[in-house]
Order: sequence, then structure tokens, then C-alpha cells
Amino acid sequence: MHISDGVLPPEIWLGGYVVAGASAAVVLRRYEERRLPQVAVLTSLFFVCSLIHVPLGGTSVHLLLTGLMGIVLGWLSVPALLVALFLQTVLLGHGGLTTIGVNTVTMGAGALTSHWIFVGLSRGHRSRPKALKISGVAFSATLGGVVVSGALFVWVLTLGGGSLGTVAGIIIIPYLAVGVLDGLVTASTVVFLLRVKPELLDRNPQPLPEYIE
Amino acid sequence: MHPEIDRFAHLDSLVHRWDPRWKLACLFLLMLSMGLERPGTRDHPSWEADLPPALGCLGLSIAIVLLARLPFAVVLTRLRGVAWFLGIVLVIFPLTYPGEKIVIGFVPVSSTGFLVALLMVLRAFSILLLAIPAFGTSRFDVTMKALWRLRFPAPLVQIILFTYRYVFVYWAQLRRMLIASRARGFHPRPDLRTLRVAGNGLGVLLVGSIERTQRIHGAMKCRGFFGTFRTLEEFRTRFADVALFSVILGAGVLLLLWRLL
Repeated sequence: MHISDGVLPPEIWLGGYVVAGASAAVVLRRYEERRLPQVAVLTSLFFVCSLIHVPLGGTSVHLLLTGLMGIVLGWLSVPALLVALFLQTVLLGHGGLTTIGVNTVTMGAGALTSHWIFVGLSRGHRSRPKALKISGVAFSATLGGVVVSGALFVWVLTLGGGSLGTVAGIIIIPYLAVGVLDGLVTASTVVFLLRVKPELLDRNPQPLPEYIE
Repeated sequence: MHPEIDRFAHLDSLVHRWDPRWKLACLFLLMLSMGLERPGTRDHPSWEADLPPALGCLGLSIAIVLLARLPFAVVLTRLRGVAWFLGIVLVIFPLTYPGEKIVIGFVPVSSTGFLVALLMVLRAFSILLLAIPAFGTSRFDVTMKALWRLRFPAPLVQIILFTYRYVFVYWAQLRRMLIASRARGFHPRPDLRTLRVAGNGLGVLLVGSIERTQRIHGAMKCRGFFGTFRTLEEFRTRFADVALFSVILGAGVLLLLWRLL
């Protein structure tokens, strides 16, 4: 799902940088600087966990975790994704240096969609929701996010012109299959969090509770 | 996996001795100049004419890698990450690119499409090869300080530094958990149970990490952290830094002009 260097025309990847940079700046301004370490630790956790490989029909695929990121971090997933994608390019050679912005936009939109679906569907009950219901909510939130970022991915590549739209169509099919796996994993993670640390899934606008003051 | 980007930082070369600020600025601008192209987006009278400048870009990137005395085979393995994407581009473009086609066997193939895809691959490799000379020839914290001195937003620099530091902590923890689960007779299989175990493991890591961030935050407050970035490293510009900057960027600008004119 990473768009690589050299494929997109300059106005698209420059635009990606502008959109990703502006939204990360707006989000970071809303949070105090003292909380940056917390965002960073969670970013590295997601970075490492996206290296987990799950067997799928003979090959293995790695998890996306953008859905879980959106559910847990909310708006903070935008700067977190920006940093995670930068490190993925620099450390592992995935994606591209010029396309960090575009990739942040496609995945960030997915993460935020997951966040909104999760918040929207789990609204309405004050007490602890049932595990089955919350896992269904988490699954659909993740899948919704995957579909949205997949659609953006196809759209961006189609804008790129030439036969890139066809390329996007071919890449998107296994991506959606991974999205289903990702949804199942995220569902069980969310159920686990509900049992062990339910305040992480609270619907308040500040996803990281401040304990030490 | 070798996530340590700066494992070649101890080597010695012209690029290693280059002031990190000049190095990052130069290679970043070079990267931008290489990306300023629109392969395959509109009708172009002669794609063939773009091939020599694209090869020139690749040559310049390879020259910088060699100048940094990096082990070339290791640098090449980094290109595997984009091999899937670019491989699909290389197959699909010749088959579906609009325009006249030559029939090879039974398959109509567009030579223009192949050329456009080739240009994309060359450009991607030219840009990606610059990542290790740019970020792998100084210690990572020095690189980040240089980025900060280049007016890169301080909050992002801090997040990157912390994230990089904890990537290794969580990588080790994940490995420990995998070994522990294997010791308990767990084998990953394509079934629901494997996914549930993976999800629960993720949850354990997540809860642990939230509690860890609170301890880290407390420890940092004890040491007087209030969100400002302090550093002992001082950079000094020498003549050689500016000279190398001008030579490499000059070559990049010439290549850009060659493509555009």
C-alpha cells in the first residue's frame, strides 16, 4: 500500500506533503509538547507491530494496524503515521521519500475513518458494552478505514495518469484481503483492551490520559 | 531485519565527514529535483530522449553511495521493499499503455509503456539510493539535530527520535513474546485462533506501552524536560562542506535542466 518514489507526478506528491504537513501541524498544536514522548512510544509500538507477519494462503502478509491506530490515537494518528512512514522508508526501504506525504494522507484518512466509525457506533451505552458487540464495531471500523484508504490510494494513482489506475486495481485486491485479517486482529485486540484497560477506548477527545501532573 | 539505519555511521569517507546540515540539505534538494518529473502522465514527443538523463540521475546516486564507501550489496537489498510495486508497474504498463502496440507472440505490447515504466523504476531507484547516504552516514541523533537546525519542526524531530529509540525496545519485546509463545507450543496457522492470539498479544504490548509512557514521562519530568530540545552537539561549517554541497547540487541541477530543456 506504499506508493513508491518516481511514479507520481510532482504536483501530487508535493500536494501530499502540504496536506499531511498541515494536518500534522494542526494536530500537534492542539496537544501539549510534554506529551510528545507518549505519542512517540505508541508510534514505535505500531511501527514494530506492523512487522508481524500472519500466514495467508501459502504466503505471509504483514498487518496494517491503521484501524487500531485510529481507534486508540484518534487525531494523533496523523503525526504518528507521518513519523512511522518516514521510518519505514528510511529503515526498511518501503515506500518512498518523496511519497511520504501522499502515503500519510491515504493511510491517515483510513485511520481517522476507523476512529469516527468506532466512536459513532460505540456511542450510546454508558456501561461496558458486550464483547461480541464491541468486536463487531472494531471489525467494521477497521474495514471501513481500509476501504477508505484503499479508495484514496486508487484515486491518487489514477490521478497519476498512464496505466497507474490499473496498477492500483491489481494492488488493491490483496490489500482488501489483508484488511479483513486486520479487522479480525483489531477486533480481538479491542476486546482485550475492553477487559484490561477500558479507559484506552474512552470516547473523550484526548485519547492519552494524563496520569502524572 | 536490520533497522539500525546508522550502522554504517562509524565508517570514514568524504560523505561521513560532511557536515550533516549541508549533507541533508543537499541530498534532500537532490531528491526533490529527481522527483520533479512527470513520467507517463501526458503525451510526450520522445520518451527515448528522457532515458539518458534518467540514467544520469541513477549514476549520480550510485556515485554518492560509492563516495560514502557504503557496502553496495547492502544498499541494494533496500531496494527490495519497492520491488513488488515497481514489478507490477513494469508488467502492467507495457500491456495497458494507450497507443500503438507491437505483437510479441500473442500479446500486444506497447514499447512506449515499457519505456515509461522503465523511467519510473530508474527514478525510484535514484531517489531511494540516496536514503542511506543521507540518513546512514551520521549517528541518528546527530542527523536529527541537523534536521532541527535546518528548521524542521521540533515536535516532529522529537517524535522521530523517541520513536526510533523505542522501535528497538519493542522489537526485542516482540521477539521475546514470539519465543515464549513458541515455547508454549503455539504455531501460527491460517486460522481464527492465530489471529485472536496475535490480537491479544498486541493488546498486551499496547497496555504495557501506555504504562511505560507514563513512567518515561515521569522520569523525563524529573530530569527537567518541558518540551524543549537541548543538544550538546555543535556543527561547524568548513569550506569542504560548501564545496561538496555545490558540486553535487550543481550536478543535480544540470541533470534537471537536461531533462527539462
